[in-house]
Amino acid sequence: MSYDPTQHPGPIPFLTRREMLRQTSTGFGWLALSALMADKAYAGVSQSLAEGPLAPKAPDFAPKVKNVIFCYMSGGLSHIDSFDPKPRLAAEAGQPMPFQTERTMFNQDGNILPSPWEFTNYGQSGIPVSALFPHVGSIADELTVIRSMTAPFMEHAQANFYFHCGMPFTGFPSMGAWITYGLGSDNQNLPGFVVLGSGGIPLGGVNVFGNGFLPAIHQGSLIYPEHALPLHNVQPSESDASQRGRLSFINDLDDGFLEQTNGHAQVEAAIDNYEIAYRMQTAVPELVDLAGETEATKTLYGLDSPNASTVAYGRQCLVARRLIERGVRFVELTMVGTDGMGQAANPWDQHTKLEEGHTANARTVDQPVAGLVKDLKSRGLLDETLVVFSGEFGRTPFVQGTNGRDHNPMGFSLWLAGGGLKKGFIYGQTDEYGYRVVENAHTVRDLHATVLHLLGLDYTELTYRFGGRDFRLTDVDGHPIRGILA
Amino acid sequence: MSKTSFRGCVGFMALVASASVLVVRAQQPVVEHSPTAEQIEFFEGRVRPVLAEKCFQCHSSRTSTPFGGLRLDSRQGLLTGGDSGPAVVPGQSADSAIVQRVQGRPVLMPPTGRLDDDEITALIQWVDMGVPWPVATASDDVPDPSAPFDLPQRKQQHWAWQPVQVAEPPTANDSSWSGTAVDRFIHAALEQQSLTPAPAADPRALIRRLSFDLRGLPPTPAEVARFVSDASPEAYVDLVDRYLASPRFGERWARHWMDLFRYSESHGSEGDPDIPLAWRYRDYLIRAFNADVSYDQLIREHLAGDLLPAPRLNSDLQLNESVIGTGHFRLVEHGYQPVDPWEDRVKWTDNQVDVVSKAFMGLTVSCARCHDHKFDAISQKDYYSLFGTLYGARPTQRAIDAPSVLTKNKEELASLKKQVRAKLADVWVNSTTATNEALLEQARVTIEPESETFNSTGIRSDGTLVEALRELGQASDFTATWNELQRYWETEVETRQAFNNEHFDVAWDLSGFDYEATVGHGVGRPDVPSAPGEFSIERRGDLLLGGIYPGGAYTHLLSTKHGGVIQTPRFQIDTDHISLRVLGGDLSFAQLIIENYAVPRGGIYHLRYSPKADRMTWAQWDTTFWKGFTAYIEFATQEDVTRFQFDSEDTSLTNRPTRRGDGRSFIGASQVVFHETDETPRDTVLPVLHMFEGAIPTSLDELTRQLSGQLKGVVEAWRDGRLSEQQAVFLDEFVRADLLPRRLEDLVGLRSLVAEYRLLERDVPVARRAPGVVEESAPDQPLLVRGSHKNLGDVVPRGYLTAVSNERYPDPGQVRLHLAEAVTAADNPLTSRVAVNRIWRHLFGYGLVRTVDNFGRLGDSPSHPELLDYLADGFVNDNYSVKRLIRRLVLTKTYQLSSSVSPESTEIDPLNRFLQHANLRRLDAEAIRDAVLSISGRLDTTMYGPSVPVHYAARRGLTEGDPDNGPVDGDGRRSIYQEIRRNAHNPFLEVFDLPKPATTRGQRDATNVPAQSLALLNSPFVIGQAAEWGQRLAAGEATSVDNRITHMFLKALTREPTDEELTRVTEYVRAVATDHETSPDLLMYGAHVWQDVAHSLFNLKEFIFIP
Repeated sequence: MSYDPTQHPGPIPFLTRREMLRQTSTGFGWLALSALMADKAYAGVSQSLAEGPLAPKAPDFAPKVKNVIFCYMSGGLSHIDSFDPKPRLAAEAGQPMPFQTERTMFNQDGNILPSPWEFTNYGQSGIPVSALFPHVGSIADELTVIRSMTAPFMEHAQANFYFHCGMPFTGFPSMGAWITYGLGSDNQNLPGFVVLGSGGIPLGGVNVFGNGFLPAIHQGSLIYPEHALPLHNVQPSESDASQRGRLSFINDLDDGFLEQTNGHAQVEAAIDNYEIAYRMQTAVPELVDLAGETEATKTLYGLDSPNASTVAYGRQCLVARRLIERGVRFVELTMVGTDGMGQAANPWDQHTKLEEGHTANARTVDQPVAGLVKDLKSRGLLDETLVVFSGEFGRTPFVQGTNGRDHNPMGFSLWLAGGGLKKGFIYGQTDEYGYRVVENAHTVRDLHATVLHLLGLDYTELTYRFGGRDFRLTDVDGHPIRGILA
Repeated sequence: MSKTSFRGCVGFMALVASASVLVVRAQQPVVEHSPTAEQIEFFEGRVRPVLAEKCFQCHSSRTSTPFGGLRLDSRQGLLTGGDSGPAVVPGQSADSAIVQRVQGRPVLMPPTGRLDDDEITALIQWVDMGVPWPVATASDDVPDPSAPFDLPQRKQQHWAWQPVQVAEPPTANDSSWSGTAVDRFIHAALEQQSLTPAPAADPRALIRRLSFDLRGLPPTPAEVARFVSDASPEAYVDLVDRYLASPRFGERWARHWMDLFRYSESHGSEGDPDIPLAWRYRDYLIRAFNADVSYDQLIREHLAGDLLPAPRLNSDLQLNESVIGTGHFRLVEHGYQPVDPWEDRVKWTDNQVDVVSKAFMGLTVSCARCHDHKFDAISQKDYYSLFGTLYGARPTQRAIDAPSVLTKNKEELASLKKQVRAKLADVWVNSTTATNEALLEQARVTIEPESETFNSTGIRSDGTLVEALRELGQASDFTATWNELQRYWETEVETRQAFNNEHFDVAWDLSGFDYEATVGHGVGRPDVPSAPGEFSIERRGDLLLGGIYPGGAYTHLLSTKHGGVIQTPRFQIDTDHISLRVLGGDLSFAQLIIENYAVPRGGIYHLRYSPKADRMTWAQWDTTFWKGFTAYIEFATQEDVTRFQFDSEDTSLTNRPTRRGDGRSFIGASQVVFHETDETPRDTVLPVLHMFEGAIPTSLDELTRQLSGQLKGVVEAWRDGRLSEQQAVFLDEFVRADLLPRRLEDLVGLRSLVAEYRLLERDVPVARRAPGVVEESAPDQPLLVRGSHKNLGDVVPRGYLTAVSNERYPDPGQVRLHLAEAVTAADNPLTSRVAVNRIWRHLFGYGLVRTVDNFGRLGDSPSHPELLDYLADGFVNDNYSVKRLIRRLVLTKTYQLSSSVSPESTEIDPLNRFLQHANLRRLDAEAIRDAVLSISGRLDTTMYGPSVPVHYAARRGLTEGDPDNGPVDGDGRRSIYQEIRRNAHNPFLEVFDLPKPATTRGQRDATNVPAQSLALLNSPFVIGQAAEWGQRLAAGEATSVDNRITHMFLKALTREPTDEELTRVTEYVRAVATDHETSPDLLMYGAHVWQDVAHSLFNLKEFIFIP
């Protein structure tokens, strides 16, 4: 009774939805109907009619949030330079670490390196944020900062897979895939799990957004907000009139085949996909077209910044808001490289030149991501959205080489903003050097369980049978971080 | 997928979770429990949501310490109860604590507020029903995972472990169904279900189905015409045989097999490095399926192709096919320079165990990595038996030519070389008198004050004779200087000896007995190490030889085209440094391979050394970072290097190595030492020491005469093959210093011999290589407690699954051969069943066991168990011939049924398990792409070779204009020849469910997503192929619109259009012509018009669905 991919949905003996549509549309014609459904006034009709694999599903219990925006700081943002101040590092600058440390990636471990940035206590909550993130500081009272994250993987690709899929290698579904599998999406004209691809793909490649063993509909679709072709194959090569003529022709011939197969559900679904595909051709370009946004909004997101990477990331943040406004379930943003072109896979990876690199990266994301939270709040969307801001691990308190930091997965920070959380709240603690977690340690799987929980999904029940086993995102050991729940 | 069915799996998962997370409690007697579907529906609809929402937060596996010790997320949890006793008494709601609590007795639960009345009512009803809880599996009687593991009992209880039993096929009442045994089984089951089989498929539907199933391509119009005109049984048999004989058959069925072995040409992770020459394994499969290599032979080659005493040779291609079969072991994902390479190794070895056990045995053995299998008769020890059996397979590149190719001219070269040595020795013996003069000449060369005689530390450098002679030549007092030299070198050698003894542990002396312990392969790899005195004949130029080698192991004693791999035994790194004495050139490498990590990496990871000299030198590695890990050292020629790199200095091509040069390369090694100091061992065998062995000379002249005399003896010893190490360095100095003739201009008598040698050497072929493995003869491996790579348990003897065979494999080196025997044993109940089921699945859409990769308890049960066994037995008795099995199956009446569903079938058997009709199937990704190419006329049927790069894949920032980008049409080659990279998927194939190369995937998805519609509507590939077809049509014969449309239908859909369709297409053609402003008289030549028609035909559902 679990979902079993080997059990195909056989022919349906009763009146199919399609036949019903055809009959009730009184000869109005399929394309006319689909055009009608594309109209916003009929959007509700269109969505309730779509019984596809992405049709919205009820959560297990009352959700706190409906959608997720995941800002991935690929490469490993240094927690001790951003959200976890450690005065002791300044006091013991240049001295050796007082205890034995773990093996690092590059084995060029030096002495204690204090943070080059001052911390300021922001807002009523007084959450300290470093000078890297003044804009994020200004939304401190919206944040839930977790300073006690851990990951068992030291290298990027494994940690990226783990952060996305709960496993350190390919073959497993990404968080966004699990969530659309569990909840579907509220918009059938756009993918349910969107990755905004103007930044770099994290190391490990596109598989980190993969569907793993889940049906392919759940994999992250890369949408390039700045690209002439924002989604693969979404641009028709012909005029709308020609394409309508083509679709009408195809549909007429398909009808005969559908009849021949006794209205086989798979054939019918394949026919229906052309309706959705047709609508996606309009929905996607409309999505990335920011002409309708006010100047004030654009400024809020940093789109007027002289810095190209800030503009690129700002556009991602703004498109992310537009996506969740349209009911898309899960949006992931990719980290843009400092040149603004963003092909770098792991911009935060400052093994050298920490100060230079982190300054540039923070400048890229600080204003846009803070603008996103503010904009969501002012539109009343923040309560039903979860914003996750994290890298795959943190960085060492001791120097690598002369001016870098190596990877540190034994303790790092992330922040969340959105519904269902204690706001202006700091949770968990690392030791005085920011090296290991000493209080409320949580794994990334706990974060996954938390995200599912906030979405109203029972994380133990969101399972899929594959290769003889029921899998779940949190495997057998992730649990919601209850200490941060409001 | 409906919400209900999705939710149904929960019970099982909760059980799994509970087993790993929960406190173990004393076993309670299991209350009889067999809920009806209605009861389960009631539970799922009315009760579980209440429990989940209101109770689980505190009373479930989500918390490791459930409140009051009570868990409500499993039936057992309710029965066992918590601190206050059981939560339910099945059937007695009034006495059940859970019902009392929700009514406030003695306290109200849940504490957040009283349940709604209807929720309480549902709970009461449910308890009174007997607490029905779903047992969510396809098989019945799934063992309680928390019960003690009892392997014999589990084996006894599950069908798949039982021997294959051959039953007489039932007699069919309907004589038209008595043709084949398969039909009789199928028909009997249909009769039992009172189902009437569908009528036979229309010939056009049948040929289309058969053509795609056997070749993965649509039938040609000519084939269709021929078959339709004569659809007699004989014509059908003839068609089947022709399709089976087509080379396209192997291209289709090899791809099915590649799904089982997660075929990929890169390792994934950061950098996505190449698996060099992985495509050789793909080609091997295509050849094997076309040649109908027996299935058991394929298994043997996959598991132990490198160890087979009589490998399968391909006489046409002069290949050793068997050795290529092991290539699948290499298709694993690797982490990026993992900080803990042992952890990485455990992961990829686990993947190998997983793939091998799923592919051949249909079992999820990998589930037993951390604990005994939850459901199947597989213990954790079994897992580590298999783990250990595969553990010794080191990754490597193998020469795959037939031995006769690899050893071409080898004997002749050896014999010629022997003659060269003898003649050269004669010449040298005769020239030793002349040497005296030459030595004196050397002694007359003045030593410059800044000469190399003394190095920076004040130690005389190489201990050469020439240096000593020059010193003596300048000496005012010969005897004094001679004495000084003798004293100096005696002390020096003693000091060096002491230094070496103090600082260095000789790990392996590869010139001696230690060599026996090495691992390796390749025609250049010597069977035994060379005694001092070996040399290599220069392949061109005036020099006959470079010098005389000390004892050691060399790959190039006959030819630098001979590849070779010499690897040390596995060892644990526990010193700060390792040094090796090595010579070589042309990108040969000595490498430290840590935990068998086979990927080229830079920085601290890449401890390696590429020798660039034809004489031994010391190389040194700093191994501080890797202490505690196991490793081995590899000495290998260029193309045999496990972690191939284009060039050590060129990091830009790190991940895409390509061969360089002419295939020549060489390496030799004599010693590996472990040490803490950062110096290398000091030489103690020096030519100068020879000087002090004779009588004490009183003059230079006397000394040189004495040396000439010694030289003669040394040359004679060399000629007779009894040279010592000390003599070898002595002789080497004479040769390299040209104190003995080594130029052909001075060796007139050797010229023709050497010329002959060089001619034969030139004719030595460069071997072809493929990824493979080499066996290291590892010992048994420890069990990893709870699967943790950090927690080593007891050593587990190697072997196969104990449920099938109790044999253990104590003798190292042959363990995979034993495993291959066990897997292919005639009485192994799994192998043949799994095999025939997979073949059935490809022809009928689903297996007789639908979970083709899982024959365990959580898998599906066979729909026709007797048929499955009948086929399995027949397959074994038919020598595991895949082609004959396919032939038998497609000749059945069952295969030839139409897909028309009877109302009874929909009612009784909606999933069509009894095969009342053929299953409608969507073509898989490759077939769709290949059909488009075939129909457009673009298909290039060239077989084999390196893959065509992916078009516009997000690989390393590749953009559309990048020259590295593959062609849009994939060069027109079949999909099986398109590159498969882990991190850059072929976008067209991916959208149609090409599986990601992670693990065995015997049953692909056939999803239905809008991205497929977009790909067929808008992708440059489809539009390009429509254009291709349109142009061909427009340039072709202009008959009539009707004829052309009919032709197009035949090609694309294997049928002619109906009148109604013809009208509609004609109408469409006119409309499109108007769009393109094509005048009616030019209509037939309007490529754009026909492109549009072609494009639309590619978008018909009938194009991608096979009824």
